[in-house]
Amino acid sequence: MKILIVDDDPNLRQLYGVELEEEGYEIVLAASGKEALEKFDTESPDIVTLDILMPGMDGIEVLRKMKEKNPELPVIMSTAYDYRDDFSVWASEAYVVKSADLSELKDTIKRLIKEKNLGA
Amino acid sequence: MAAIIQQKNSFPGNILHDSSKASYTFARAITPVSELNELLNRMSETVSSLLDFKGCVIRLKEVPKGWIISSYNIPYGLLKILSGRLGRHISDIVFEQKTPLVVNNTSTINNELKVLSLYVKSFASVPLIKGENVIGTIELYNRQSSVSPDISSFTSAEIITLEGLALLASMAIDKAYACNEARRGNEKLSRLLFINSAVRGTLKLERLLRLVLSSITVNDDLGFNRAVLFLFDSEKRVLKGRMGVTPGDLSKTGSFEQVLARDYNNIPNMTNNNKRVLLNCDSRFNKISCNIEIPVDYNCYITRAVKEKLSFNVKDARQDSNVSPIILNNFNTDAYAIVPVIARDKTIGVLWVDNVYSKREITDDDIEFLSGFANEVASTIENARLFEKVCHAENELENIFESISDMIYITDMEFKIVRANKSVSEIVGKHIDEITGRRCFEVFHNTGSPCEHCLHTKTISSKKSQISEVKGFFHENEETWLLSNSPMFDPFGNITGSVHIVRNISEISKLREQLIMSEKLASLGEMAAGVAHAIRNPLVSVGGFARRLEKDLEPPLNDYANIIVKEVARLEGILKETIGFVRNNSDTSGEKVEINTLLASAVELMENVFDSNISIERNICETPLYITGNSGRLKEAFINLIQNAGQAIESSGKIIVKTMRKEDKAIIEITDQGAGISEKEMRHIFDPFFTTKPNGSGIGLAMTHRIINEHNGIIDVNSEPGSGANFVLTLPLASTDDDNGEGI
Repeated sequence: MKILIVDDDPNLRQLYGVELEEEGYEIVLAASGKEALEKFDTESPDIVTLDILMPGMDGIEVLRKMKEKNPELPVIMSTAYDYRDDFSVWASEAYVVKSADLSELKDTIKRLIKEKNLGA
Repeated sequence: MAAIIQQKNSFPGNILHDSSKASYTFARAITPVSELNELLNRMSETVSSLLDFKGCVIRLKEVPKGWIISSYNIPYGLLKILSGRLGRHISDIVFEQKTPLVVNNTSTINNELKVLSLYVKSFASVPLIKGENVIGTIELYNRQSSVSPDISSFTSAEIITLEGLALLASMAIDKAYACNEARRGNEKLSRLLFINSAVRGTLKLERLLRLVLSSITVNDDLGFNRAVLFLFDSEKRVLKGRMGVTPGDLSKTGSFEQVLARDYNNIPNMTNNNKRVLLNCDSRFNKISCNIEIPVDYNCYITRAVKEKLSFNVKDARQDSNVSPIILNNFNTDAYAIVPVIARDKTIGVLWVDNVYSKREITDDDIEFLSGFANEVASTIENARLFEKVCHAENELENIFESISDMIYITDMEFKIVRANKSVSEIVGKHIDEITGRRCFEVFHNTGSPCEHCLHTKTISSKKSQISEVKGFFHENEETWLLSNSPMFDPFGNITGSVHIVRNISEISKLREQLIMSEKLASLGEMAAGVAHAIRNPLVSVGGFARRLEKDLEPPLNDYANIIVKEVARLEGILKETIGFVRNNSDTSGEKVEINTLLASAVELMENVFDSNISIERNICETPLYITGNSGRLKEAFINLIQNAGQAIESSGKIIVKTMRKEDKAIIEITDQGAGISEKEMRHIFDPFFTTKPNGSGIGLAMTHRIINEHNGIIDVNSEPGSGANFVLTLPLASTDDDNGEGI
């Protein structure tokens, strides 16, 4: 199970990386929208966690491009504040507000894996 | 004709001795008389008796009118004959020859005058000569001498006497003419002077015009039969009939004095004239006159009089192509005159006159008199017209002043209210007499001295307008008022006081406060979003790694890490509240929400949260209250308010939750018996981050305020420190398809 973690904050990439590795997932990190799309092609992740507010190409644009390539692939939007009213994020499978407590993110990943039957 | 001329010296008689006596008697008789007609009567009588003739005719040639004839003791029938062809013949002969003509016995005549003998036995005619010209004749008929009772002859001495008398008569007539002329001129002058002083005394246009027109239509030899004043309307560019007067409107014998007495009954020597004639201003002629409107661009006499400032004497109106058909048809006139009325070099109108009844020809003399008259009254008419305009404008201003809803009043230098409009009396609740004359601080502030921040004082000292906003402008009033105060000056630039305009702006200031609040929220939203994003990431890193440390560290270090974790969690909590508040979730359009049900569920929820020392009393109305909105958001608002009420209660107490329907509004009241809110706190109670609680975020009530606003509702708070607070929500009910609403 490969998770692509996209965030421009290196500390958060590191935190998400170690936490999710401990959960038993394979981790691929990307620091920008551009890098995320490259890794999306080369690494073929099973799930993506995507920060919205990033310099350069923002998360919403990345989401759109990813969904064009593979509409079935689950994407979790992860950001500093609530974007749920922005209908452009509706295309994502889930939405998680960043928190020091990563249990919500971990629960969401598990739920999505189950829904998509990825772990089977 | 020479045959019938009697030789002057044929019969010397007694009368010759009396020649000087006759002249003396004649002169004595006629000298005191200066009025022409009376003079002629006196002459014919005196000369008849002096020379023993039965009757006498005096003719005067009058240019251009023809003849003035005066007779003594001549029967009407005979006078007609003598004034006709026959008499004319005698006069013509005397006129042409400038010598006397005496016929002692008409039966001897055999020329064309022979027919006279039927009526006249003898006659003598003598020319009246002035300088080189014959101005008339004296004719004496049927001598009845005391000497010979029958027909007696006229002696040459008597003829000389007669010629002498004729000379005296000519002089007397000349003098009478001169007198007449002088009197007429005098009369004109005195009338002009009289009218002038009379019209200067009035500024009432209607009265003035009536006086003016009446005075030129008086039934005497200066008067016209009809007179109309047209005034020039420079905006519409028309001449408009303003007033028409005809003696038909007056008494038939109305003299100049009567007219004046009527219009000026206070003139002392006219008060005995009780026969006051009321001028009928609604007369037909006046109506016709007032209905006439002639465009000034239409070319006719009346408009030319305006444009060219010329007078016109129209002798044959029916044939004259320059006569406006409007004049002809309305006035049905044969001849008329027009003079312009000029005030300060500007033609303000025209005066139209005619003599429709008397048919008396209008002379150049008349026009001259009329022009002089018109010029005299013109400036007075113009003044009265301007005065009327000023009055009109003043009335208009007065109406505006009184009908304006702002309070307007003027105070003098001693703070005394000089004038105040109706609004002042209405708002202050005092009669206007209780306001004017009193000092402003007594009326408005119920104090004995001027206010500390009196605008009037500032205006007086700075001589500049002042504007200020005051809460509770006058005694026992708490509304917000906008005060504007401007200095007033007299014509010499000295300050005399100030004018105050006071407007109730409570509504406006309320709206403005709301606007400021929403602006605050909007800018806060932007700021919070930026801050939240900037803080969130480091916070997640700090908290996340602290959790990892907590797991791996040995005591007591893991406890320290735990403190970091907890504190980060608290910070995240604040961040979440802030973000939630800022989040642009204003989707209030969709669902129908029943307030009572929603409120009940919020109360239930909070009852579980509160300790048992706090009870909630439900006072929910039975009618369902449907509104359109977002139930989640509304529930949040209710919870916030109930929570706030609970927090206000220190040890134990009661919260009352009440709903009711008022017209098309739902009212929700949440009342606590806590510490209450101070006036200072009240002003900021809905401000974000304003809190009086040690652990409050200051978001709850601000959020509630915002949610209620989003639902087009109003949130009010009443509180007095020490006796709790009462929050009142007013929300508009959903439009009345309530039946459908039941199905939610």
